[in-house]
Amino acid sequence: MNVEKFYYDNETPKLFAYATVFWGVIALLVGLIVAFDIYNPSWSLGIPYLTFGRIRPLHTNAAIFAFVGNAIFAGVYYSLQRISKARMFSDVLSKINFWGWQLIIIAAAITLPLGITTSKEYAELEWPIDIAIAVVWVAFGINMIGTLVKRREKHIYVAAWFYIATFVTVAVLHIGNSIELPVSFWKSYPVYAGVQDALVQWWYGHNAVAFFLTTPFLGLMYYFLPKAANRPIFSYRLSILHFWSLIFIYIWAGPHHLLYTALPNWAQSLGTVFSIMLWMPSWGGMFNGLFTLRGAWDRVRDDPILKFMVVAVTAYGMSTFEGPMLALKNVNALAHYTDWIPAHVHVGTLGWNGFMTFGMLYWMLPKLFRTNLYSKKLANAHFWIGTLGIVMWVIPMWWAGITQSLMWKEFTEIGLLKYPNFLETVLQIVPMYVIRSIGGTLYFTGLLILVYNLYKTVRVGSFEKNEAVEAPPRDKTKEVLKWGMIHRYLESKAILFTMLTLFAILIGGFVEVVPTYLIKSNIPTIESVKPYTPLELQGRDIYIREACNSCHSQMVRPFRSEVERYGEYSKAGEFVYDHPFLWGSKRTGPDLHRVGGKYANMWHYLHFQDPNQMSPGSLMPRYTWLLEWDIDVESTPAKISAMRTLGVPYPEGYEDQCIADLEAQAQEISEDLLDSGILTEPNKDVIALIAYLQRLGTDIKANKSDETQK
Amino acid sequence: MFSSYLSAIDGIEVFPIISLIIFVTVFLIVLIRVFAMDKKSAVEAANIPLKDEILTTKSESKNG
Ligand code: HEC
Repeated sequence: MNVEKFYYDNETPKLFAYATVFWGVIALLVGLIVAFDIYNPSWSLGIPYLTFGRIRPLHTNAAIFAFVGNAIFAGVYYSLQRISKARMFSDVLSKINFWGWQLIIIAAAITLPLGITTSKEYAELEWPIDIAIAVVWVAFGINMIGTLVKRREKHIYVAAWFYIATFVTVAVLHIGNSIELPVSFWKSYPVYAGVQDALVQWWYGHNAVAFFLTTPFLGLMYYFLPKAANRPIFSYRLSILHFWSLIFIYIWAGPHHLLYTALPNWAQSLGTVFSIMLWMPSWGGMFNGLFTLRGAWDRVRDDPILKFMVVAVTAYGMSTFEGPMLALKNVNALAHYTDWIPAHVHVGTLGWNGFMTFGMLYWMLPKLFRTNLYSKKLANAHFWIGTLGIVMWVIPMWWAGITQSLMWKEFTEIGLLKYPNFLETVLQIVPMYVIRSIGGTLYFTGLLILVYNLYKTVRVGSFEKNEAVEAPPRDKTKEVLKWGMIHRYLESKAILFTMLTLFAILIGGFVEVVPTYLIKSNIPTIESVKPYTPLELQGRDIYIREACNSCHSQMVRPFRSEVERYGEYSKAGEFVYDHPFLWGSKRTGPDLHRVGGKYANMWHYLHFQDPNQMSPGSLMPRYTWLLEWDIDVESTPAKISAMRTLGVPYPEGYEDQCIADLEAQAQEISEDLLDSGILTEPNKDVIALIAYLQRLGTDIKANKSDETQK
Repeated sequence: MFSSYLSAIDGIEVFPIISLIIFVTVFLIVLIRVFAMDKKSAVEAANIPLKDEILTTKSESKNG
């Protein structure tokens, strides 16, 4: 039989592997800063760029897109060539993919601390970076599908299906969630508002977890676990079932992030039903991974790589069991807005993504450098320290979440809130935050051990940029389409397979997203809800810049305990002018939707200057710079006209008037402050922010009877 | 706004039911296909990742 000689590109996976390690260290380091910041707000030294709100998105983005993202590329570029028996389609595209991705990460690392953000979780980057992401992602997709088209292996192995699904779905999600109207080079507003915006965001957020943190890693599992164990996957048929049901169901489950919010009921129920169904295929995948090791458990005991992978797959099983559970309405009522959610997330990222990545790196780098791992002992030490780190991270946060939630809901015998002071429920769990930060430190230490171990390995190895291989050309005889072979037939057709995958996820996406367009008919219109004044709009953008929504929700759920604490529960119709929505997802501080009119302007002023003055022991950071920085008045007309384009009914020509209105309202507030003995100029950020806070939730307070359900 | 063009459609409640039916159908089709799949080709496919080792060593010995 004739064979063709060709070369694997080893350079790209190597670069991506290095980037994974480098950004992993950064992401975890920033994570540690965040973990300490939260119970020690003075740690940020009064530097705006280091406060919790601005640093938290840096941590999440670095962990997801820099650490996990590079790990995905490293694994895909290594394994895809080998299961295809072909070099990557284009070296140029590989380079664009690598350098483009790193530049995007650097852009994120600069813009996020500067407060340049859309406020949408895991999609915080502003529109110019969004476009760059789309370009690089498409380069990756073309490179991958091109490789599959020119492959020598007749069939497309299951790992590649997951890669294809990843590429296709992330492209759709990213574009769908980033439809925004630029106001300036670094500022945009999403076209959706309020409930619609929330649905689209969590359709994205949920599926980003699914198709960025899950499917690519399942692909990696299906390749690297059999490699490390040196035996084929337990059941290939199960993997087919796993694949199709997973990509089909995942995309429908997004609304479970919005239970008990102002989202219509039917959408909430849809989210719950599909979340529970999701449990089955997820566990199918887990068992397929674990059973691959049947009869080889003695090897797991002394092979750190297998150990990492076993714990990773088990963590996957745990989080995919916990996920559907959290989607049950009564569990969700307890867990939402608490530290239970970060705990759930970190079982996934630290356990599943982190450990899978470590296992993969320990296996792949020695292979690329044709040597053995420098020290198995150190890898084992990493494994144990890392595992302990995860345990010390997750268990205290479960505990903290449940404790705090129960405190929020507890009433005294005479029917009053037992803990009316929110801060009390926060201070109660500070010890848990301390333990969590120790857990994080351990996990970080483990990573440093990996850095040393891999450095030593690479030093002695010999790397070959282009590895020579021989394989027979692809058997081009037509595959006949017959009953029972239909999937094999599909597998032999890369483009057809991609199309079908796209089709499957589009049906799910369609069912979830079309209703969001129709949702107007589901939102009870409230007559008294009016657009923000220019000053309030500027204040809202300051709220976004400082990411107050990373600690404060703006969504009072319809529970007795919340109505008692915050006031009337939130209605969908109150958010129709909110581009973007700012419901938040975690309450480190109290809900703010009904804070308007609760305190005097002076209270807010002093609270921003130093929260301890108003709430002794507060964990909220000081915002002294808000008292000094000037409002960006010049941008107001552009913002007003962008909002009008999006459907907010500012009168025609209001652009000419808005600055005068803004100054008049600011003057009023500064005069009121002066009455309370605070001397400040009216053009300061804090004035705009106070105007916004005082407006929050007051539209329906003023005129409750106006609420009409159409 | 473009979204208002669609807002006239009613009967939105039927969406969850349609989606459930679509899913169950697809799932059953995949299930049947998978059980009908012949065992030999499944084993063959499952071994794809393990085959590359052999190839690489072969080429190495030729190179060296
Ligand atoms: C690190 C988390 C955190 C961040 C970030 C944060 N806060 Fe707070 N906030 C808290 C905590 C905790 C409390 C409760 C204790 C207190 O009153 O200071 C609080 C209380 C408040 C209150 C009083 C609410 C009430 O009903 O008593 C307001 C208003 C407020 N924050 C506004 C803001 C604004 C505006 C921002 C952004 C500029 C912000 N917060 C950022 C944690 C945070």
